[in-house]
Amino acid sequence: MTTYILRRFLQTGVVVIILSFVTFAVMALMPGDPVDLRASADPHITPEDIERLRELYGLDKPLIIRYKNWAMEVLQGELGFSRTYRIPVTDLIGDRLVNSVILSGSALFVALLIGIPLGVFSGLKPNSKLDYSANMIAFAGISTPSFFLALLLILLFAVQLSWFPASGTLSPGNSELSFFDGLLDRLNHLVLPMLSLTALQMGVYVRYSRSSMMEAMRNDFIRTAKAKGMDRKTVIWVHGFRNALIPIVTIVALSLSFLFSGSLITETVFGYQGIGKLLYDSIIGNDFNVAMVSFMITIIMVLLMNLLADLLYAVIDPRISYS
Amino acid sequence: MTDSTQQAAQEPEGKGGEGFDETVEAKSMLQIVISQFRDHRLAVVGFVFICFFLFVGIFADLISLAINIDPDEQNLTERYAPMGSTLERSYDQREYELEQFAKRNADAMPALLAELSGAGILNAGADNEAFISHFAGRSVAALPELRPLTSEAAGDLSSAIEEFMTFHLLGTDEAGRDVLLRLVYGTRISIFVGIIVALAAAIIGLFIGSLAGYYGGIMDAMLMRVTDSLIALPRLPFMIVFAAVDLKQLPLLDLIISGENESIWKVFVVLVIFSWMTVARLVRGSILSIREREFVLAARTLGARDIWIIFRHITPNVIAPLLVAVTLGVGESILSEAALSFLSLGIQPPTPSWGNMLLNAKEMIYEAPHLILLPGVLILITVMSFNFFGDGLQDAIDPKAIRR
Repeated sequence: MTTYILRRFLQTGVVVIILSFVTFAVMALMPGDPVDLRASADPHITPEDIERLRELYGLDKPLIIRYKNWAMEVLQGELGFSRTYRIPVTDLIGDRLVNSVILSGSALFVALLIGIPLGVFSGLKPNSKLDYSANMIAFAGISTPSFFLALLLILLFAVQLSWFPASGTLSPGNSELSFFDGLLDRLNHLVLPMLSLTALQMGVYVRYSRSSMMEAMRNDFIRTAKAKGMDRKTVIWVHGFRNALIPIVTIVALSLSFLFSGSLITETVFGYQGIGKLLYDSIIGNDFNVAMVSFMITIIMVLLMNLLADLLYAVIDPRISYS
Repeated sequence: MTDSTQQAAQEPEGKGGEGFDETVEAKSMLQIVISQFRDHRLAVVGFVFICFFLFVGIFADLISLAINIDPDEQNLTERYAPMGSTLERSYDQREYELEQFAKRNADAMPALLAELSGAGILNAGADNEAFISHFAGRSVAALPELRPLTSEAAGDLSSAIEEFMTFHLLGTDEAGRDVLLRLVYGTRISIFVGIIVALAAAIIGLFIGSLAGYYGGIMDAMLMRVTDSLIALPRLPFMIVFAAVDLKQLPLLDLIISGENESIWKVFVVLVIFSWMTVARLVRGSILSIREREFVLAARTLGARDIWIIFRHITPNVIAPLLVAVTLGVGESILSEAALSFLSLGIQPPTPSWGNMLLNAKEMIYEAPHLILLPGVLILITVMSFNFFGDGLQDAIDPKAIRR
């Protein structure tokens, strides 16, 4: 098991290095390097100045050397300066990551809280009214494009009913509010993006838990337990549900990676200051340092979560072993 | 397709030949597939919607002609008109139409001008320019003045002026363009992109999957490692990065991404890069099992080359699942295209696509909410239709699921 974990970590590390190079090379194709952007903003700049600036920043060197320099600096914790925000990237990333984890984490929590019971109960009574409506909800959630759902929520709850703000993370002047009011303000901004993400994910959980519950209840030992005259509740929860849990946990583990990659569109539509919006804004704004770092963070998180999911399988299901 | 259905049709009949019930009418494979597909009600609904959207997309130009509006015609004085409004065309457009009228009827113009000045509508000795500026300015208010005139040219002029009024069933957008027509042309773009992306991805996936599956060994390990890592990656952040950079700087891609529809081809390239993996996996899996079958061994014994075996003997057996994958892929590509366009990294305006229409509508969510609902609902319906259609197709052509 230990060797397996070590090997997987090593593999993930290699993949991260390859991907960082590919991303670096692709981002080098962005229209206009930092010097071009600076030159276009300064009418007095001469071609010699441009040449000198290029040399100063090392932009005249070949791609592989530039990548090596960048990677060395990042490894030493030097993430560079943001062109658009005018602050070090390190100061920018922390808050955004926290915001993203709050948003996606709460969405995941609510989705599980509603989705799994809904799926389990509809799996217990297939073709009932509950099953039918749960299926409808699941299908609607899975098929609706995230950006359209976000716009619909804004249209209904912000434009028509004005219950919640249409966008943002905090109101201006939030820091002057008392702790409780400040928290309330944050929650107020969180509701719509969270609802949107919840609706998108919940369908998957409903479907999975429904089918795995049905599968579990078809086992022979369930019939045996019933035949022994065991209490119905014990049969369902101790014998059925515990076995249904294995596939459910795996799908939850897999969707952990979604925490970091799935909310990009939702964050952008709601103007929620998370890592996804940061990535989008930096790419649109040609902010190379921020784009590179936020992209790599997203990728590393996704890969780590996938790894975690793989390892969780073995912990949950004793039948799987990686030796 | 016909090849594989015939092959498949002979197999089950041959096996069940002895116990064949004489009262049951024999059906060809195609008939069975169609009748099974019909049982899947939602899939049939999806299929009908797909046909409708295809029809709209193909005949977009005819629709534009029929309602006599150009999809790019702007009218900045009539932005965000409500649904079902009748609007006056912009002054520039009226001027343009009158110029065209004067050009078309160049021979009859002197007589018409004389008639108009005789009736006191124009000053004596007025030329074409005075004529155009007078009627462009007066617009439909000039119609009563023209009524007493009897000549044929005056009648033509009246009908030309009547066309200054346009009817907009779904209102107008932020540039005063007709929303219905924008949606119609958006349908064309979205469906077109969805279909060619899914087809191109299928061809690439077929190629890579067959190489990996047929040769196995190192080739298989390498190709599948790449495929698996691409599947494990989050698609959207990658697509955004690729869509944002200048892909034309890469060799080969500059051949594809060129011409006036550059943004469409760019979206095509970005989407294809990230959507061939499913097909590759599917094809590899099927080939691994088919490779061991007797007819492949027979072909090899007869001296067939690898390429021939892959494309003539193995590919036809993969076509059915491939078809399903392509159908589902179309829905997914339409969704991705809309997402990219919505993030302003996909199809660039003024070319309409459902995604960039949503983006524009987002700015005006308070003033014109219907502009969000229309393209959004179209995306939803189309994607669901392709998903249902794919599901139904899968059930219908799966030989294991055949009910008799």
